[in-house]
Amino acid sequence: MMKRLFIISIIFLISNPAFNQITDSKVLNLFASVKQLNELINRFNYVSDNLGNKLDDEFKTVISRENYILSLFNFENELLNDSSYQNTINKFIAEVCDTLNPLFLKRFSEGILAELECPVIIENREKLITLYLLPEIGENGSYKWIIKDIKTDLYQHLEKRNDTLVFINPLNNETGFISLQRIFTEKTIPVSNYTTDDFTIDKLSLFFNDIYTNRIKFTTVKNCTYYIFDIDGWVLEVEEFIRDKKNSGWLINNLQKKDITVTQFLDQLE
Amino acid sequence: MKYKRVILVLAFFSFSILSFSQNKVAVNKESPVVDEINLSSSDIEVFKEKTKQKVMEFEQHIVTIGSKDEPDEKRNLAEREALKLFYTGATMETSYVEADGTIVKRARPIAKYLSRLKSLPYTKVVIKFYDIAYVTDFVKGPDGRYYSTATIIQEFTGFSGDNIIYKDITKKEIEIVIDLVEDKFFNEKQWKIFLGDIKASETRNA
Repeated sequence: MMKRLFIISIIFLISNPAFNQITDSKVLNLFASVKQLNELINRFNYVSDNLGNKLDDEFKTVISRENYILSLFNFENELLNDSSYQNTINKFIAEVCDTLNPLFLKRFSEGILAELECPVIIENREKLITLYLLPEIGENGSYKWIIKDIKTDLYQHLEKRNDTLVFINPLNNETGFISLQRIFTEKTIPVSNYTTDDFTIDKLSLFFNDIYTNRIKFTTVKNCTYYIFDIDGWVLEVEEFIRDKKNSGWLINNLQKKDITVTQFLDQLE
Repeated sequence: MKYKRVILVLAFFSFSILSFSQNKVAVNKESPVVDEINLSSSDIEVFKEKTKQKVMEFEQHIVTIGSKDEPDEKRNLAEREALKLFYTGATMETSYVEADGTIVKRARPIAKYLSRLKSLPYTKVVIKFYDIAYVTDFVKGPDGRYYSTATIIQEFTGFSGDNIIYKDITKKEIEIVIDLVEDKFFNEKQWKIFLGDIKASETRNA
């Protein structure tokens, strides 16, 4: 399969006349790479080439949709050496390229989750947090990203502890709830232990407050992984591979046979 | 042949956009500047081509600004013209490959970047751009504007005399915005393309 993938990549490159004028291999590789997520989607849907030009009949004669989709996988993923994973990919491609019922990714879809690994500065130390962003489509067909969730251990000290029994005593009201003074100054027991059984802290709100009060400084987005749920029963994991090769840019690094929605996927990350 | 066809298509669509502007967006004086007007898919395709023109215009200004052989007056003019292409508040991320291979990135307001480009510590700077690598499909934002991204590939060479001191190849992503702007002279609204933030997504030693 790897040999087939390599041949595919060479074929489709040399078929594009725009490359004839470029002699620098580094530049050639940049042009050949999957430069944007939008490009991956258009290539997956067999709509355009690596320069955004609509695919013509000549191209389609040389490269089938099956092989074109295959070229969007990360060739250097060791999973590709596993025959069962190869079968999973073949099954997926066969399903997506079914002539009677071909399947496509939506160009602008709510079935995409962006997982961002971001270094932040807190108390002069760098820590990594993970933000989850989802697209939202408005009534007028508009599109935007929204911050949906955060994964971090920055607020672990606020989480409920199950190893200790603490409570506001049943007659504390008669003393004007005087124990609240101790509860809110004591640091050893999280205050959340004094809430309802199903209480959970809202990490996202805490993070926003810390950003707003300058306790945390956001620096940049270090890594981005997309999870695409557009094809029912499948989850595509897309990452950016920066390397001086034609098989680079935004590539499918993992494919899972999984019947799961974006919300269910987010819930399982907790 | 391919380029001739592109130029003809661009010329045709430039004319038709003007017609579109005059027929469809003439509004009364009391309308808000940004109306809920949708671009058709064929209009969007036209704007994709116009985006390439706008990006090429920017690239040409960068080449002029960076070139120490050009007279100061021309470089200053290019700097002013380049700035006009951008949305207010746009930033440019630059990247530099250190001797040990680490890549250092820094974001600056466009005006600062352009000013700094004129005074880089080289005796000669040559900036070369390849054909625009990719332009994404336009998508409508909640504010009624249309958004896209263009990928360009830039080669930067810095000289000290005849010696190349530094050379790199950078892939950059440029945010593109189409906005409905009021033309006070003609008292009508026209769609206009603006450039936004620019990210240096990948840099390699050349």
